[in-house]
Amino acid sequence: MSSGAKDSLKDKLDWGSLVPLRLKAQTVAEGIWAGSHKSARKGAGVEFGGHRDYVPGDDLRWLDRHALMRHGKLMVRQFETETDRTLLVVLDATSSMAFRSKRAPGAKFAFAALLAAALSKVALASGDPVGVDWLGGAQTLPLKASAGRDTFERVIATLQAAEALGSPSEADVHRTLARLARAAPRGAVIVLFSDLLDLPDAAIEGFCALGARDRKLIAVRVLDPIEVEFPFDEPVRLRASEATTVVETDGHMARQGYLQALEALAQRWDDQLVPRGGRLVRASTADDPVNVVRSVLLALDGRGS
Amino acid sequence: MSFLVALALALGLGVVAPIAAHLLRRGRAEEQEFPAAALVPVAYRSAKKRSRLEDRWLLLVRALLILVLSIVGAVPFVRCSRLALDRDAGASVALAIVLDDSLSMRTRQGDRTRWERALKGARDLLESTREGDAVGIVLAGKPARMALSATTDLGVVRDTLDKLTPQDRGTDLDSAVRLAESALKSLPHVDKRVAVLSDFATDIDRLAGHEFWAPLSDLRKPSSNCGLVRARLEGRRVLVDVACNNGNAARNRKLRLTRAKGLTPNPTGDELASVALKAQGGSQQLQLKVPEGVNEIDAFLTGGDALEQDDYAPVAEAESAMLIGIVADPTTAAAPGGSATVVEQALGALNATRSLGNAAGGEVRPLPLVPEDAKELSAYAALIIDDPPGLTPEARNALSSWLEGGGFAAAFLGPGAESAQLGSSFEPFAHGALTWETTAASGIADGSSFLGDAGNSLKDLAPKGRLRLTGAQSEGAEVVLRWSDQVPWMLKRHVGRGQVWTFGLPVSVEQSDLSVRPGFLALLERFVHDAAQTNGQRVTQAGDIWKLDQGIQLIEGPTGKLETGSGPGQSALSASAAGSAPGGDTSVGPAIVGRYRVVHEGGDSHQRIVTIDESEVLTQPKTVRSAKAAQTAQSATPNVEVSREFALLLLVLVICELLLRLVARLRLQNQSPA
Repeated sequence: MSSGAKDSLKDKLDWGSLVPLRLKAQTVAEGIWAGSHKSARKGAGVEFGGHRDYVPGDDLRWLDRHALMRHGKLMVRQFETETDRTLLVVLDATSSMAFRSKRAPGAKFAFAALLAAALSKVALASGDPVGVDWLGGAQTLPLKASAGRDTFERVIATLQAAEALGSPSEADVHRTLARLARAAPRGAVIVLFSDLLDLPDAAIEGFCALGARDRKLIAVRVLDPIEVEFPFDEPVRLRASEATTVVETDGHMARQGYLQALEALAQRWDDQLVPRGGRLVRASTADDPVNVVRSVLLALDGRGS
Repeated sequence: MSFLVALALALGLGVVAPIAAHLLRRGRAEEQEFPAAALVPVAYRSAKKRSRLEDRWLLLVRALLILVLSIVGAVPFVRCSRLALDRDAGASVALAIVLDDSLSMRTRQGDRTRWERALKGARDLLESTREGDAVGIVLAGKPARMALSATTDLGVVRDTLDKLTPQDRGTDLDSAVRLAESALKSLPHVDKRVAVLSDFATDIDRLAGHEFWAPLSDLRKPSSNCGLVRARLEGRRVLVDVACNNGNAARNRKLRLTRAKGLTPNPTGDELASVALKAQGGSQQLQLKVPEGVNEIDAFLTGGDALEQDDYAPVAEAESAMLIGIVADPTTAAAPGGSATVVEQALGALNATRSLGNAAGGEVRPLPLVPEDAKELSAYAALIIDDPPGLTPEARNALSSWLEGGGFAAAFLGPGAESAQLGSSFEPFAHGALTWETTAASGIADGSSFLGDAGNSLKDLAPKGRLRLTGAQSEGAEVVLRWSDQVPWMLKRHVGRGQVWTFGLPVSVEQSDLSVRPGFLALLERFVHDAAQTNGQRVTQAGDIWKLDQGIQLIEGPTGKLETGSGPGQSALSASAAGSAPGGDTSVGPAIVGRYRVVHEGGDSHQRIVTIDESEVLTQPKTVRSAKAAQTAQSATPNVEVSREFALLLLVLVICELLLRLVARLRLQNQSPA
């Protein structure tokens, strides 16, 4: 990336204190438990993964005679399989993601990019291939999943080149999701970083549909602190990022209604993701990115909220 | 605008305060980016528009509050054209409003007439009165009348004003002002004022010496007008007197005669003749020929001017002119150095000054003897006999039947009564034998009771003798005036529809100074006037009173049936007439130009014509300052007393402001998610 392009990017996106992205991502990644994560898939492997009842067709090599003698029934031993799990990070690059309040360290997109880079670093460290894709935005080039040493650099370059603007149409979303469906192999992990505000209604259904073929879905909702708290008490006039909506209201009286609507939106995503083994992780740009990434990893292991 | 007014109104600049506050308030709600704005409750999407609307109402109300406050502050220093009573000491005021209801007040100025403007001024004055003030109303149309005596019941005053209507009368402003002054005289109020709401289109020199307030200077704008003063038919000719107050008013206008149809003006009737007016100011007489056999004719002026009521006049028939017969011996009753008798000369003088009010022109005709045929007398409305040597039986019979029909006769009895021939008597003037005697009585006592101020001039007649009327009174006669020794001098008696006046002194200057005293002229004027009112005069001016006997069934005019002795103006007339007509006669004073029909109980009827006073057309309004009559404290420009109204408005605005704030608060509470 040329210096001129960087300047242009800085003009268009408020990275705040989240630059340089590469170093920040590395710092976050180091804060995470180092080493490869355990595979969720059971099967052939080296680490014992527990017993289960024998069913006809099982490999007789894994029959545990000690268990037969102890429990009086046929049981097979299971092992946690260590395989490559493709990580596909999807970033929402709509205009609302470029928002940054005074209390936030950077724009929502910058924070999401940091999380994505740190997660990529963790994944690459364990040998998993990492790919990048986008919802909306400009200068957003999809990055095919790869696991090479230079993948992290390509991820960082891709994230830094992107520009958060516009609002994707329903067709754009379907196009992106179709591309993801083709690119994501069985058992892949797809992590969406978005504020979930500008996405069309079809985005929920489409994203959750990716959960087929044993794929793991995680949606990370990234909001600015004032979007989380709605700290207005005086009469305010609020304009959406695309200026399609202007609301003049009394902050104190509108707060509860707004928070309820925000929670209802999150709950809608959660309700759609959980049946497919997915999770919604709530994050604020004021949060510690290490904790957020850790929450994502815990969600991948089926833990955490 | 004085410095104080400017200073008070400068408070109005404070109106920028709520505007600035409004802008500051709006400034706090600056627009800011908030990506999740779409999640803010939908109910608040309209908050922007609603808030702006409410704020604007509040802003408007608060700005008005400050403006009204500044006006209230300035009111005590503001003076303007709205009429109001100026109270220097704050005490109650006795106010006589003189309203001019003469014809000239019907002149249109802009979108309304002078009368409507004056009436509005009177109502404005009434609005500025307070409890304890006494208000009376005097009408200055000829004759001046007291429409309402001064009263503290302002509701009655208001009702009286509502009932007043414009009329075609002449102007009698001098008498009206005097009437107003006398109306206030007996009131206990210290502050007494006379407000004259008139165009002063009259002789204002007579107002000198009176103190009054003449507001509404806009009534005194000159106008352009032509009017028909009178029209009469003589043979096949119609003579029409036209008056124009300037030459332009007569330009391109025509006089048009149409066949009359009933009592209402008929401008669209068959045209009988027409002629163009001469483009000149002043009076002009036009003659037009009409077809033979046409007697009922209306005259109209084509084109329009500021006063349309005088563009119509009914044409009077020739016999409508009033005829007065004089029976006097020229050798004894003639004035020194002249051939005409004193009575003739006196009546001529009255005619010249038009003090008779005889629109058709009273014609005086000397007679050698009292006619002995009733038919001969029927042409006369009145008969004056000076020092007759008795009346023959034929003359008495003719006189009697003539009096029954409404004739008026006056006899000045003198020494000739003693030389009455055999068979002659003085019926119906006096009864029995009459005696001429010398007297020590100096003159007539209390002549003013019957003749006004002029009657005082009869106090020292210094007569050489007198006819003693004691015991000569016929049945039904009343003594009107007496000598200073209480011997009767003047008797009055009703005979049928007519009247008989008898005097115990001849007119001759050889016997007394009677004929050279103002009281004599007043006496003749009164006699002729009453005669004209009763029967003799068929053409009168608007406002002149007709005294009709009780046998009148109906009087119809251009405005319909005429009510006798009713209405604010008419009742006053009736009351004044009652004193001189104890017989309970019907009195009516038609004040609208037109043709009237008087129907007697027997079914027979006769027509009368009401015309206008020429001066109402010719005289332009005058400014009273030139008469130096309005230079009084009352003429000060009044303050505008509107503090009460503005205070009320202020209160309403405060309530509106509170309500708006309450509504805004309730609405916000209702929309709160909690």
